[in-house]
This record gives sequence, C-alpha cells and structure tokens, in this order.
Amino acid sequence: MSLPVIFGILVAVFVITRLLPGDPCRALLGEKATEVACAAFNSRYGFDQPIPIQFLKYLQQVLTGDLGDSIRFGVPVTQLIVDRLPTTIELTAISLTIATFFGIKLGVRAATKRNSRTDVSTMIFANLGVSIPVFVLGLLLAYFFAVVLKGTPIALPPANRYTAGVIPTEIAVAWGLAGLQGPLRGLLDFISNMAIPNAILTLNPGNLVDAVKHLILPSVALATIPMAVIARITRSSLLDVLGSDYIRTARAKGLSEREVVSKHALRNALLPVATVVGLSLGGLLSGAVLTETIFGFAGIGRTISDAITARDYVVVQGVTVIVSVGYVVVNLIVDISYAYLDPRVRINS
Amino acid sequence: MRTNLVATALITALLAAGCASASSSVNTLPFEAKSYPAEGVAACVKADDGTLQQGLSKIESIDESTVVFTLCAPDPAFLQKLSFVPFTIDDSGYLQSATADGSILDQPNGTGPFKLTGWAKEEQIVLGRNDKYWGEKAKAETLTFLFQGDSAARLLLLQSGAADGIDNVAESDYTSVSQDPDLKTYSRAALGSLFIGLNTSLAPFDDLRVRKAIALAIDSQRIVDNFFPTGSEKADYFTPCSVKYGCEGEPWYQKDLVAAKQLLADAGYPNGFEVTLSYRDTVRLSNPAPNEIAADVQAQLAEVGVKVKLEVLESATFYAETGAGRLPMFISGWVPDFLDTSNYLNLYFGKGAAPRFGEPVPAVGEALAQASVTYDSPERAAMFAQANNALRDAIIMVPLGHGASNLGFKSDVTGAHASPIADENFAVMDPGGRGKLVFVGSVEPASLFCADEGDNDAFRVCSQISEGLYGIKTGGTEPEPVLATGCTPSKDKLTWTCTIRKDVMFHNGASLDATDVVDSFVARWDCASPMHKGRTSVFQYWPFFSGFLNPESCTQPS
Repeated sequence: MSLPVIFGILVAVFVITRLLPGDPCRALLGEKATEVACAAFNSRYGFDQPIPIQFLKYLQQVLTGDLGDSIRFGVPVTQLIVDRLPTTIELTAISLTIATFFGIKLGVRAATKRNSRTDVSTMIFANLGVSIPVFVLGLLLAYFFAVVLKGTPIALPPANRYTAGVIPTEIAVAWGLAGLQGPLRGLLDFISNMAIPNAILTLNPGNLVDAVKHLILPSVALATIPMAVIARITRSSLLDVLGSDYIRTARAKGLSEREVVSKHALRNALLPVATVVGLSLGGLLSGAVLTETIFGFAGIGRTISDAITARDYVVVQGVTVIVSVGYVVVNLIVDISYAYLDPRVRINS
Repeated sequence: MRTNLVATALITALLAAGCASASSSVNTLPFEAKSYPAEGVAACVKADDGTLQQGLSKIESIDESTVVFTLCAPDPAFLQKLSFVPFTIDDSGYLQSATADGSILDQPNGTGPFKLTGWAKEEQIVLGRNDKYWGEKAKAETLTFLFQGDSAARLLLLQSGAADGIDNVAESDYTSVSQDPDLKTYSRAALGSLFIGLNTSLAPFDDLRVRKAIALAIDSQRIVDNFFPTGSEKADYFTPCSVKYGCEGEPWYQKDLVAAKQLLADAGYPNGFEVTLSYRDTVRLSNPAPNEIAADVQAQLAEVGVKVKLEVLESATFYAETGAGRLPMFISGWVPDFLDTSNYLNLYFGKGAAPRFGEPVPAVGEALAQASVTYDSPERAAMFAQANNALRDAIIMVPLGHGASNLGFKSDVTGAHASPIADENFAVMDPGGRGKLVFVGSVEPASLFCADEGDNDAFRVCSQISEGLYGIKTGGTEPEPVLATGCTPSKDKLTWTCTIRKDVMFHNGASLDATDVVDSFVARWDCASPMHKGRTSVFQYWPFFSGFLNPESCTQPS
C-alpha cells in the first residue's frame, strides 16, 4: 500500500503546485520580470512544456533518483534535503522524545492519582498545551528565557542552532577525509548537519554545549502539543486497563501498585499511545515549519515553506516525496511495534 | 660543503614549489589591454522616434589604470548606475573559473573591507575583516548576518543581546526599542513609494471623471499618519522629494469629497459602484501595513459610495495579474534601485512599460524618454515636471505615501547608521569593542553573485565584500569614487573615462586592473560570453545600464 500512497502524493503535489496562481519567474524576479526574462526562465526549467509532459519527465527523473534542481538556489533538491532534513530530524526526534517521555509520565501520574490535584493540574496543562499555537509558545519561551532572564545562568539563546559566527566543521573534514566522495561522504555530511552528533563526532565540547542550549527552547515549544495529547491518551488508556479483571487479580495477589502499573497495566495501555506517537510525527513535521521559522532553524519545514512562497515547484515536490516516504516508514514501524507490545497481534498474524 | 649544497638545492626546490602553488591558487592574469566588442562598436537601439536609446556601445581598457565607456546616448544617471551593487567589479581570472564551475554563487571574491569566511545556508553568513583592504580597515573583526523574516523574532535577537543590530523594526515595536536605554533606533529616509493603480482599460476606470473622483476621495495624509512608520511622508508625487527632480510640477490633488461625488454622478455613478481592490499581503519598505492600509482605502472610498471588495493576492499572482493589466484597481509599491527620478518613473510609466494601468500615457513616456538622456539641470527638471503633470492629469495612479523604515542597534555600537537604500556600511561600525558584529536581516540572499540577484538583503551582504567603480556615500544617496579615483565625461557625454585606483587587491590576491573592469561588464552585458552565468542568468538589473549584447543568446539556457 505504501507505494501507491507515495505515487498518489506525488501526483497530487505536482498538480497542486501547478494550479497555484502565479509562476516561479514572477515569484523570483518580482516587478522586474519582463516577458523576455520569463521566456528564458521558463525555457530553462521546462515550464513551457505541457503539464503531462512535465510530469512524465519528472517521474522519469524521480525513478532514477533525481529530484531535480532548486529553481531558487540552483542546487540539486537531493542536496538541499541532505543539508536541511537532518536539522528537522534532530529537532523532531528530540521533541518526540520529550513529548513521549514526559507525556507518558504525566499520563501515568494523572491516571494513578485520579481526581486528585495532580490529575486536575495535569489535564489543565494538557488542555493548555493543545490550545497554545506553537509559534506563540515559541516566542513567549524565547522572550522569557532570552530577554527576561538575560545575563542569568539559566538564560537561553532565542534563535538559531549556534551562536552567531560559529559554523561547525564537517565531520569528514575533521576526520581528514575532505576529499572523500560518494555515499559515505553523503552519510557523513548528513550526520554533520545534526548539531549534537556533529559536536560529539568532531570532539568539540564547546559546540556541543552551544548546540544543546540552542535546541532546548525550540524542542520544548514543538513538544508541548504532542506531549499534552500523549498525556491525555495515556491517562484514559491506563484508566481503562486499570479497571480490568486481571488487574484486580494482580492487586489481590498482593502486588504493589507500582508493580501493577509498570509490569501489568502500562504495556497494554501503551497500544493506543504508540499510534498517537506515530501520528504525532505528522503534527511535529507541520509544527516544525513554524518552529523552524521562529527560531531560525534551516530545516526542511522552513525550506518547504519558503519554496511554496517562491513557487520553487521542484523543491516542493521533492521534499513532499521524501517527507511522505518518511511518514509512511514511521507508521510502518509503529504497526510493527504493535506486535512487540501486544502478543495477540503476533499470534493472530 | 656537500651537505650545504644539498640543503640549498632542497630549499630552492621547496621555494619554487611554493611559489608555483601560490600563483596557481590565486589565478592571477597579467594585464592585457582589452576592447569589447573587439572590433567596432555594439549596435545601438533606436526608439520609435529615431532617437538612440541609452546603452553601452563599447568598453575598453586603455592601460592598467584607464577604462573607457562609450555610450549610445548621454546618461545623466551614469555614476548612480556605476554605484549600483549589481555592477561591482570582479577579477578576470576569478570570473572565468568561478562562472565555469558555479562557485561564483557562494564563493565571492571582491575587494571590499570584508571577505566571506563561512556560509551556513539559511542560518548565517560570516564575514571576516579584510586586513589587506586598500582603504580604512573595518572596525569589527567579524561581521555575521543572520536572517529572520518575523519582526518579533528579530527584536528578540536584539533584546537578548544575540544581535548588535536588526533591520526593519516593526512600528509596533518602535516605541519599546527607542525607549530602551540599551538600544537605539535609526531611521531610513522615506524612499519607498506606495500608490493605488487604476486600470484605464477596465471599466469604470476608463472614465477620467471616475479616476479623478478616486483621487479626490483619498486622504493620503491620514493613511501615512495611521499606518506608516515614524519618518514617513505623505506622497504628493510618485517620487519622494528627497530624490532630485522628484517633485517637479504640480503637487497631487487635495481631498474634496463633494467634488468627488459630483464627478461620480456626472460619470453616471450617482450611487457609486463596486470594485475589487487587489494587493499583496507582504510587508515591504513601501507598504508597512498592507491589510490596514487597504482597509482604510476601502473605508475612505465608501464615503463617496464606492464599495470596495478587498482581494489579497499572493506575490507571484499579483505580479502576473498586474503585469498583464488584468486588475482594475490595486495597491502596489516601489523601492528604488538607484537614486534617480528616472528609476522611480520609467519602470511603471516609461515607454514599453507593462500595461498595469491600461493604455500608456504618451505624454508621460515621451517626457521620461527625453529626461533620461538630458543632463542639463533646468531642462531635465522641466521634463520631469512635464511627466509629473501628465501623470497628474491622467490619474492612472494615486500616490499614497513614502515609507521610511527603522533599524535598531545596541546603543554601544559606534558608527551605526541607516542607509536610505538599505545598504549600510558595516565597516565603519564598532560593536562596543567586542570585535564581532552581528546583524539580522529579513531574507537570506539566494546567492552572493549580486550581478544576478535582485533584493536589497542580498545587496547589503554583497556590498561588504565587493565594490564598484563608484559607491554610495555611507548613510547618504550621492555616488562617490571607490575603485575608480574618478570618471570624467566627454563634452558630448557619450564617453566616460575612468581612472582605476592603484594597489587594490582582490581577496584571492589578484591585483585590480582596468581589464577586470572590462570583463566584469562583459560578463553582465554579453549573453554569448561564457562568463554570462549566474543563479538565474537573467541579470535582471543589467537593462538599467544597457541592452544585452547578442540578445538572441539570452533566450537560450546558458
């Protein structure tokens, strides 16, 4: 099913971008886009061809692994993705980890202390978390930690991945492999574009501290909504499970409440949570657009947002394909994780 | 003895290898006089009335220090154009190699007070001081450009101390910034132009009475007072009065609702009419509050019975629709490329302009064509007066305001200033002794080869790295010699002789000579040249200087 889904997305994105009003030439050149300039522009990028021809040519390219060249930057889209996707992966992974860890913890606390102050405060937090737009939260956090707390030990930088003026060395260069080409170099460059792995692998503690400081605020801002959702789902799912007969039996056997929850109830309660975590990835990726914009991160979210504005069709198509593939893969992993979490799934299959 | 000979031979060999290595990495080409075209002159284009249009017909390096430009027609704005960032000078050897391998886009090589040390795309551009600069060295050791489109996020960077200066302080933040003892604001002169366009090819604006009614119904002072930043001015002409010849002729109409209603009644619209007002929802120097201004225009026109429906168009769509003349009424703006009245008026109202306003107004086009080739001050003033008066009579646009903008800096940054053309000179700024200057712009340049770029954010970065024969005075609007010590016109103003400054080096170690100037212009001018390559290879600003050589090659992909 995954392949038809990806093909369908490709067709939809291709058509939708062409249906958008305006054209890349005028988007790039503005008022100074003359007929001659745009004729040369359209000829260069093949936009003067009929749309079905454009699509067939594009499909041919994609099947050979070529996602085309960015109109705005003049570089291969694959290069842009290699450069930008790691930033989003890093931000999203950290956010998802924060959201999952704290979301489950809060949900468990709320469920085990049902109708207590802990429960009520957790749910209030969950509602707030879902309600506050991520860009508002991002700006508020940045204002508080960067401006209000300016000069204090707990002040945090308001934007960017590194302090101004710091451009970290690539892993390949740091390892003396500057001349390396091919897939291995590509992999090293991909990892290099993640701030924390880069700092670790280039043995640069200063950059590591700098990177972590810069990642805190955007990660927390991005994690808040999924954390709130996960907390709510965990709470309601765990409450369901805690009401089961086998849990009553476990209690009757004399197990502590902690053992009852952690060894018997939680695993079953996590099934719907796993689904939510997988679905949260879509929300994180869309939230990453705003978070990356507010915090000045050069990730894939901001890239696609800028590409839509600039009518950089090639980038929009290429990035959508890659993100769709990633989303399908993640949900496949979620489906597979069901078998680990629920033995009944393994037996039935 | 034998050991000494061996050592000497070894040292000599090492030195020779070092010299060879150094010269091959610098890519220096020895001076060779050059004339372009090599033989004869480029064909000059004639206008419909037989007069020659402005343009370049020849450029030649006579000796290492002398370059001669031969023009098709006199150009009063020649020095302003030489000051323009897309016309900076590159080293010949660098041009040949960097256009071939594409490194010209992100590995610039200029003569400026800063040189590129690193570029993390969509994050920051880091420049280092050029310690071999021919002029006064930059005060900061490093200059870092960050880019943030959101004004609130830009302000956070300044207030937190992460940045020393930011561009485009939002009007809503102006008071908090100006009252903060740690910060200071600097106002940019009001050089943007905002106007309402009226399309004479579409009803009801095909009727002059209707257009005049619109002009009389609008109170542009109210719009400027309510929505423009501090320092902005009401527009009585399309061009700001701070630009020479901008305010020649009769000023714009004053608000008169009674007369406006009468005109509408005479035109057959006693109860007004419905019309769509299109605009871009993009904050620019010329339009600081697009939605609010459009809403106010809607409210003002309602007072004379004109029911306006607001239509927000995305930028690319807006340009396409206005350029094709499909919008009856629209709000648009202009920010100048170089400071000459012709740059304000020619694009929109000159001969060959796109049909944004419907049928062209011949009186305006003719006056502008004459003004563009006229040096004489009173005569040029008279032509611009004629153009302004013809615009006032035709009422194909209603000028609204000239927008200023503001920058914010930390108060301990000495030398901070605002450039009217958004081209601040960061070399004169000292970031409070910290050595590192950080400035936040709005949009990251797509490349650093500004010959083929079109936005001010790119120009601002490029101008720290590269220089032209002339440049704009720091914080001002007048051109001054930079890589040239001076350019002198002939009596008939068809030839300009420029003397190149001596002992100037490019960042790659190559020396500046007159042939570098020739090749830099050829790369932009000749579509058939192998050096005519950029990010888009359109070189959209070249037509301000001249037509392209070998234009048939311009339509083919480079």
